[in-house]
Amino acid sequence: MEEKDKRFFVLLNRAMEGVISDDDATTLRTLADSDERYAALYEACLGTATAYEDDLDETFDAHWKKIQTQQSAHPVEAGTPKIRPLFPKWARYAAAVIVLMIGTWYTYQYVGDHGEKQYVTQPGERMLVELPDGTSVRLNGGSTLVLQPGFGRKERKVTFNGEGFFDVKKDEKRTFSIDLGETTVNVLGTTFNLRAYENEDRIETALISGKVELTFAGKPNQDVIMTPGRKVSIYKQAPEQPVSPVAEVAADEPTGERIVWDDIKVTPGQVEANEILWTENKLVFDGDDLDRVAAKLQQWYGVEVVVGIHNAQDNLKLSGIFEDMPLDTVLQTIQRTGSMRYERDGDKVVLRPQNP
Amino acid sequence: MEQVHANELQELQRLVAYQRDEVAYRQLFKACYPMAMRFCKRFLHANELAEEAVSDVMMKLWLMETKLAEVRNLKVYVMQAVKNKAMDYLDSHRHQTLNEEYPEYLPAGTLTPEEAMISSEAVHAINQAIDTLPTKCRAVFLLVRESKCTYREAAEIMGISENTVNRHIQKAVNILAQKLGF
Repeated sequence: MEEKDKRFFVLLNRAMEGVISDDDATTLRTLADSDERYAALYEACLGTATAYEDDLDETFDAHWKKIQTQQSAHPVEAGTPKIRPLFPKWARYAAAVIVLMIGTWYTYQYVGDHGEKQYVTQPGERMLVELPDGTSVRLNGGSTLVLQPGFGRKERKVTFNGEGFFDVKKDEKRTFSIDLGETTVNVLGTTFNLRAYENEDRIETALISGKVELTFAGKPNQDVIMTPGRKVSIYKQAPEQPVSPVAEVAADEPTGERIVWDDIKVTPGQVEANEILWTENKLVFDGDDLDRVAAKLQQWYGVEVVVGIHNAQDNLKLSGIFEDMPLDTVLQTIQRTGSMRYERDGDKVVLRPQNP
Repeated sequence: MEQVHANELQELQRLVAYQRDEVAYRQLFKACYPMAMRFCKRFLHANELAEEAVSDVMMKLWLMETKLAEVRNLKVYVMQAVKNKAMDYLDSHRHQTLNEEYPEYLPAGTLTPEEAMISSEAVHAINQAIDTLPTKCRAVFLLVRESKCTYREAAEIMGISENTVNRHIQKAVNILAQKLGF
């Protein structure tokens, strides 16, 4: 073998191993260009990997469909133990999973009568969605996000019920606005957490970065502009007992009996603020009263949680962070704090204040 | 796979495992599918079989539920499963000539400037040469060439040492050199 050949083979082996210097790579390239045989071997070993140009989204859609058709072709009757042992172990779980999945698929891709697209999570389910404009929203349990017709063309309008962590793609020409009925949240490009369940008494916005503006229908001069690190709760009705202010209010932050300001807090040992820990699969109680604890458990575990008769002045406040814990563990832990007790019957939980 | 950072992949695995997140699963699919298909198509020489094998593996990722979060290196895991399926298939069809299904192999899409320098006959000769490699040697070679695996990854996928990977590659290069006129 010629000296030049040897050199070529050494460099080729190094290149394949991925341990070649830039200079040697250039030398190798030059050698390959100098001789047809070198060029062929170079191509054989290091040539562009076979192009793979199929549209991956289409491939994925077909993949989903395949999973669905497989399910209808091999229905597995729930509850019958007569599953053919021919199936690999994982296939035995397929029925339950696929039923769940089909449910998600339809709700996720649901297109409404007027061409609006909506994303829905069931209680107990959390989901990351990507909107056509590049915005991503992580939805907590029991949430609905509806894109208004023409979303992304001139403006970006959505309606929302539930809790979501929004990472809004910056686009100065098209404001992203979230219509919550009386309150509207306007943003350009920011990350923030919005908790706005229809059945809760307030709308909470916690701003991580960027700028957010809240406007109120029929009250043009009472806009609230937020700065990062702040959290604002807008009460739908003036609370029966005024909520004690928790943080100092800056001069440019409007106040009122229905507006309560707070700072975003990070619990020691955690990286993210309490308001967005749920996106890391952590269930957080942050000085929550009985009603709110019940609501959070219901949204998190998809069970029905009702609150027993209690006095509004009980003033129970619960704080704690739970990560990947079964419902019973959480309930037992709460009970052990001595503030509440629980009864659980299947998917129904009753929470009561601990008797004095 | 190259574009998706390992941390991101871990996060996607977790979302799919615990939250049954379909968008995350889609991203995971898109990160793994091309590298698996590139390997499998070249290895099996049968598009449909390759698609079936890769699709089975991808489906398993969804169906393994919370176990998915425990997978340490998803690339290795996926490629190992794909390789096993492809090997099984070759074993059970040892007496058939797979190449007949796929006589003319040309790279899809437009040619890069480097490829354009060598004629399409040369590309055909190259691909035929790769097909003559012994099975294991070919698997290792294609993992490195098509799926851009490092020697360490290839070793883990094949269940052999990095040294053995190195020997397989050198053997492959020598055989290819002979076939290509050295």
